[in-house]
Amino acid sequence: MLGGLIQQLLDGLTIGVVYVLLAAGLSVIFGVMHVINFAHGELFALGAYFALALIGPLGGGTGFFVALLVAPLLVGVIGVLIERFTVRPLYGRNPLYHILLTFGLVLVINDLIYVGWEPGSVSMPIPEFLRATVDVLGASYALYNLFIIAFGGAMAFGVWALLEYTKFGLIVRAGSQDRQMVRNLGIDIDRYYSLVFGMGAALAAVAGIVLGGYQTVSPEMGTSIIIPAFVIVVLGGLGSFKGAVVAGLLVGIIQTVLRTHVPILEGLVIFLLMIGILLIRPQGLFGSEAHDDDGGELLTGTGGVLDSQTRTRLAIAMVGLLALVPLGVGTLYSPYVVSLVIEILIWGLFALSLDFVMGYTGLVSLGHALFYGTGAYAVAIVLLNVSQSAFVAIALAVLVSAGIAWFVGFLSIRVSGVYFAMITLGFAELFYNVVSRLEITNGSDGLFGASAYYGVAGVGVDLDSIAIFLGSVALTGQMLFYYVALAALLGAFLLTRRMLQSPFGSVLKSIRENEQRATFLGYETTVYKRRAFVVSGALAGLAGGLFTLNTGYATPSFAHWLHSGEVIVMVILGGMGTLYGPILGSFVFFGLEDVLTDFTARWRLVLGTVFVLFVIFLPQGLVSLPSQLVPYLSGGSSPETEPTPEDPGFGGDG
Amino acid sequence: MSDPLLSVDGIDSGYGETKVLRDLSLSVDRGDVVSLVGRNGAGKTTTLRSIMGIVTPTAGSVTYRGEDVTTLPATETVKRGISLVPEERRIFPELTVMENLEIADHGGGTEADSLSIAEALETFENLRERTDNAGSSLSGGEQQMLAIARALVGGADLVLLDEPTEGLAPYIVQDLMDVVRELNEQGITVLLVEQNVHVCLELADRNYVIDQGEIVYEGTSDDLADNDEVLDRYLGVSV
Ligand SMILES: Nc1ncnc2c1ncn2[C@@H]1O[C@H](COP(=O)(O)OP(=O)(O)OP(=O)(O)O)[C@@H](O)[C@H]1O
Ligand SMILES: [Mg+2]
Repeated sequence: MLGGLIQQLLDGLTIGVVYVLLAAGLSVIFGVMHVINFAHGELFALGAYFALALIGPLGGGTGFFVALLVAPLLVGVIGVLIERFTVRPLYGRNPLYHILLTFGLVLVINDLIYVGWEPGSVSMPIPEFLRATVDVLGASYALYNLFIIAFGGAMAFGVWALLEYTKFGLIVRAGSQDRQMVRNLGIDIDRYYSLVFGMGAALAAVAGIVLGGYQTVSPEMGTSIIIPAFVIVVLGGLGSFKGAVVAGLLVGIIQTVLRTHVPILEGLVIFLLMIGILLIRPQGLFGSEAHDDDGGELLTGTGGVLDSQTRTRLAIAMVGLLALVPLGVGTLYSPYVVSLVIEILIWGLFALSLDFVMGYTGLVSLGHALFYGTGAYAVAIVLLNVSQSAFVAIALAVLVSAGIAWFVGFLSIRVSGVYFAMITLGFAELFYNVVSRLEITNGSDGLFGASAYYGVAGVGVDLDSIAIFLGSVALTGQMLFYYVALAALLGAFLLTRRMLQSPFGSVLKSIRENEQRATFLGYETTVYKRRAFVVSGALAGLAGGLFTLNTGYATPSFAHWLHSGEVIVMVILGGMGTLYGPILGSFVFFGLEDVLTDFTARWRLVLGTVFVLFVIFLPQGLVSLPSQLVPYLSGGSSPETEPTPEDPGFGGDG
Repeated sequence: MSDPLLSVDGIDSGYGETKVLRDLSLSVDRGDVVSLVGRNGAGKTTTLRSIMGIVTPTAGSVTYRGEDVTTLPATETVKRGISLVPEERRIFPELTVMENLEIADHGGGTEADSLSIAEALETFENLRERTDNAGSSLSGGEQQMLAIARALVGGADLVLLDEPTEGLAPYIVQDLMDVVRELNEQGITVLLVEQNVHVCLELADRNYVIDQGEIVYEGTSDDLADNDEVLDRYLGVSV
């Protein structure tokens, strides 16, 4: 009994130390630069893969130790370069842009790993003598576990000493409390950012190597560890080194103990803890009260260059064009095109729902896949167990999603900014873990084979069994569903547009511009934000529900954080704060994916790169492109050198 | 007469769209205590930030020791010997008193050699026993003293004090005024921002009154004390 307990404690400490190494870097990077680095998990994985590459020719004995030294240095250099060339241009903007940027980097680095190494998991050769076991209190333990604890512990201690006893550490600590004041004292803190980022990256690499030797090395190791790492950082307090250490060990032990005793709760408890902490004490266990928020506002799409009449005509033409898509099947293209455009329309709706809160109230939801997943599962469960009516299923999906959005919004909208983003991420991961475990959702396999008829109370039609003839074309099945999806998107677009033009919408816009002023004007901004969040959740649920209605399945991956990230990518790509931007973003996203997959399996690499460039150079998205290009096209010169009437050179050259 | 140590000439300044200062000029002579006094939101803090380079004036110039420092960022102005003690004090709450001083200690300043930490602790004796305590554990008065000490350790010749007496008990205000006087005797020049005109009248050689981003009065403490109209109209002091 005691032996077993000590065994679990040691196992927990082993994982805990790895968490500490990861979370320490993440936390310090956030503390000093206010950057939430989603790519931290990929740097972790990169460390493990570099180590593999080094151990290859050198062998598992000395090679392992050489790798443990060299691989983190290489990853550290990559970290410095990432900070210098991608993170740096974004300082002074809203912290959201760093989340977006590093999400793009996840796509890029993750795909680069696939380029360089085989998919699937491999084991990391560790030195022979570490494979031994030792006896402690009558039970035997793997020496390698003890090595991780000792080595990781020493690293963490080293970082602590560096922070505590050097001038560099003093500046880093002061910087995470009050950056502007550090500058006021004559210290150019910006110069330290690259170093801090590089140091965090190197620590992540160390974590990746030691964990790689304990478990296995796989391309997914980064995406699966990053979320627990965030949970730890939030628990310990954003920016707190001490917090990262305590929370890291705690979570490692809790997870291990739960896995043995209450496996159903593993993966749930940490998210509940995180949500609880964020609600009660957003600054975490050891974080300091508030961070100076010098972030700028979100950059939303600028008004186009077209007048409203032309826009309306263009919109009608677009809808007309879309309505024609199914008619070309068989003559112009295969049915695949219809299913692709259906997916685009559904994700367009999903992206629109996110933009309604993000672009119009400034609430950045990092867990919007929660509502999409809720809608999808609601439809699947209703169709399989309750009623095969599509209308009943969709209605319930929308209601349940709206209800969950109300609940999440009720709890979390009072915490602001970064904390809100984290809490929504927490709820989504909680959902992901719950549906992966429950019987009614068929665990990690998900639900399949749901079919529906369009009608109520047993009266209605099955899309596959009817056909509508238009000239020589017979519309059936998917082609008919296409119009259902198009109608849903159009309906959602018109509904949200209507809401934004109403007084409700003007309040939302004034919240986005300046929440404090909106409060002074007497608006209960929280109430408005909650309402917008419910609408958004309902629409996201509709999108998920439609997807399942069409395909008949729902799996936990629908609620995975990568899904939430992808929909954010679409919103930014198209243009936040415009309703048509996200739809455009969905077209470009899937269009790019479709075109690229014909040429390369590494389409995420290209997409991620495009996205990173967008975040840096065109944060207002594609919709802002015309208005940014117009000065170049019409004047033939850049806006800066454009002659003005006061300029003596005006009119001179022609 | 020699050139002033600091001279601000006709600056416009503000935050993006919000214009706060209009054509504001003032000058501070070496070794003086000069006050800038005005109501809430008059633009006092903005003036100090513009001198410091935290905000950059959109017109006019700031000259320090004959050098144009208008567009220099704060990190550079400090190195030339100007130091801001901000309104909120901005002590690093989780650093110890000692660390709060150490981080400022990097040489700089040109005239008076920067105060060593040991010398600073001599002047600010109430900080001496508390060197290992966290910044957040200090009282308001102690935090104010630490903020001033920090500026001096950083090598300030000209200290910009933003409302140092705000929120302090009257007897601590007395202590603080003694400290400012003592530092001034040691050769430190002070630009003192206050809402409390009595503090200004006691400490300052010259006073500027600011209202809605403009200087509306300039005079010695004796003259200002006798000018009922200015006191009443701009400072709300009934006489
Ligand atoms: N960061 C900022 N952004 C926008 N406006 C600001 C900012 N800081 C101050 N202001 C505005 O500038 C004006 C002058 O502010 P300032 O802080 O300079 O006044 P002050 O004289 O120091 O007032 P107080 O006595 O309250 O400290 C005010 O109207 C204020 O609202
Ligand atoms: Mg002020």
